[in-house]
Amino acid sequence: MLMKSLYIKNFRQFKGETTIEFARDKVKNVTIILGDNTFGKTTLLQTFNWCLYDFVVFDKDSNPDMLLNLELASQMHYGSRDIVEVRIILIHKNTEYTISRTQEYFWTEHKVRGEKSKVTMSYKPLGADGQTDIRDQYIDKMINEILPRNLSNFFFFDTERVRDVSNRQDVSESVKGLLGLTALDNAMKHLGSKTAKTTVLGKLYSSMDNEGNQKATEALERINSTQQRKEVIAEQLESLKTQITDYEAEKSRLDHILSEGKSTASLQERSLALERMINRETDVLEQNYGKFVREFNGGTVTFFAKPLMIRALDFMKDAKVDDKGIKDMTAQSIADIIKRGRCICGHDLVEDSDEYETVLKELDFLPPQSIGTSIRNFKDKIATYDATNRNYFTNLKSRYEDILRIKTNIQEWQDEADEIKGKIEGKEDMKKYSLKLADVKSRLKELNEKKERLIREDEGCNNDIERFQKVYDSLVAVSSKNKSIMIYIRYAEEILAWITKTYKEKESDIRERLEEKINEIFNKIYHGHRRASINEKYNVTLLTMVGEKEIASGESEGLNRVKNFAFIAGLVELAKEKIVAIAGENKMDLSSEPYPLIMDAPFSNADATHTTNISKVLPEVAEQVIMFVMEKDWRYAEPVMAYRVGSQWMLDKKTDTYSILKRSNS
Amino acid sequence: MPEIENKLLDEKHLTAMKVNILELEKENLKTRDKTNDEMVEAIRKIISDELKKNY
Repeated sequence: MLMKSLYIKNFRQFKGETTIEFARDKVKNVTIILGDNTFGKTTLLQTFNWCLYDFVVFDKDSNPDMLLNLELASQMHYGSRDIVEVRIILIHKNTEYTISRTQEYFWTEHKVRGEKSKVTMSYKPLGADGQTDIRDQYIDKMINEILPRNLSNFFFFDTERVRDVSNRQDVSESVKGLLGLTALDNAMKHLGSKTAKTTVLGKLYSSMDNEGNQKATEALERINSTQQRKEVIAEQLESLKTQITDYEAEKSRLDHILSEGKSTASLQERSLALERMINRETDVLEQNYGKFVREFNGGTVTFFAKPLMIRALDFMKDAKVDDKGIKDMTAQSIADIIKRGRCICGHDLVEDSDEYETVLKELDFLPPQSIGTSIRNFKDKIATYDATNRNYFTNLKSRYEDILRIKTNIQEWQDEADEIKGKIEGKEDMKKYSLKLADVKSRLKELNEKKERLIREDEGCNNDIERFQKVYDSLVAVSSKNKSIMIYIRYAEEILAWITKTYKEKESDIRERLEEKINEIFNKIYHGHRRASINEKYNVTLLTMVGEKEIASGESEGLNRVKNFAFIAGLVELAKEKIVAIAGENKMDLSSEPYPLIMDAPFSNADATHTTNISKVLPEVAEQVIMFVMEKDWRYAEPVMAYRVGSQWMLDKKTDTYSILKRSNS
Repeated sequence: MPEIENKLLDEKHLTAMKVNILELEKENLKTRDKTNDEMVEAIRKIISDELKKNY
């Protein structure tokens, strides 16, 4: 597809009618439109988006919904109407297409309003006269097949506004379509399957005469339901593969981080262990302090009184110890019992009675008549104190040693913790990566197990389908009508298998070659050590070698821009090449087309070297280049690119709301 | 249906069908003259017409 011309009427600052013809010569294939900031370069780029896809990207503060020229809008009055129009003529597959989008504006309620835009499309074979209109319901589809909307960011490349167009959405279908696989894809859809009733195979199977043949119907139903299950399994497997790829990439990233931070991780673990040990030991120390104080308070008096006790015992060793008295009984106690008149055994104590005399006799063994019992009591007490003193010192010493040992431990651990703290300060917490890695591994295990289960189930489905197909074939091939339909089916299935195989081969080949092209172009522009890689969604990632591993590298704005250039340039270069499907001795050209590169401010923020490199590469890889460039940037690009310029234009800003475009000589 | 199963498909017929179907798809990509249903019918007709030919 190449752009032939662009016609603009009253679109934003382009008041009145403006027409640009684009260079399409093999050598002089570059169209340059020069203009400084705010002269209308971005507006020109947006005319393509609006005409083809009915959207524009303007800054919020520039009244983006108002496409009618503001000078014209300000002159409108009740009843007046004005039209905005953009018309693109493009050439695609030897056919000239004219696409025109219009929007009518009118004055109402003191305000200018726009109606819904309308699009028309017509075509004619190159060189022929007349135009054939394309039906309204097919226009969007047709435009999308010529230039898919989700690739419009690439083809209408707004360098300053697009941060990363090659790494976001799944553009695989669009890229495959662009590179010539749509005819195969459509043929597969039209041939369809037994279960899709509106396809060739679906219709052929439904036209079989199965009436009255219950078993054949049942067999067909089983085939259909198993086929449906297979499709569900295929979808699930596809989704699982994507998830597994993503998790494996994440695992590799975490492995890399953890291997880099292995020593940090072990220090962080030791630091946590030390912290736990110090806390535990501090608790034990507190308990020991408590016990030490309690033991000191309980036995100190008797311990220090021991020498006095020894001396007292020495002094009393010759004293007569009386063991007839009741221990701790006093003379006053006896006097009280007698005064009460009843003994503790219950007998009345009547003067001169035996009981009275017996109690009175006790006084003989008690002080003051006798000191023997008191001495015995004293000796017993000293014996008790002595027993207590024997353990007191040992316990206190042992407790003190424990306290010293615990304090030493705490101090040693604290010193080690302080040293580790200095080493790991400012380092990332490796534990969170370990936990993430464990989670990723467990998820990968689950996903792989699920994948295995689905593969086994799919094999089971294949066996079922084969079995039921045999049953079905043997039952329905009875009538001659069925026989002919069966033959049609066999041919249709054979063709479908061939197209599917061709599609897969071409698709895989396209991805490999696109990756090669992107790297080739990337290395012409960027002189560093990075490689571009494409995944199944056709997203591009830049990889760099770290040790023996290739990992995704960070991307600066400049690098990202070079990557985007390389992607789009690779795409248009590959689209120029032929894709051939071989059927018998026939070679069928499925090729897409050469595509243009249309770029706003491609050299913005690029240094002189990159500007020169980009200027060399773009006209070589694309069959048509249309660039909106600032004059200051053009000074660097012109020496390299001038001989390829076939059409040059200059924007002239008259007012903030009015610019004109003039052809200019290089 | 063993006789059909065992019968080899004719390569000339098969190749002609493949070529005609893909040419039809390519042409309709350019013009969108035919709807989906019309394309399905046209492909079915390519297959049945081709099998009527004797080479």
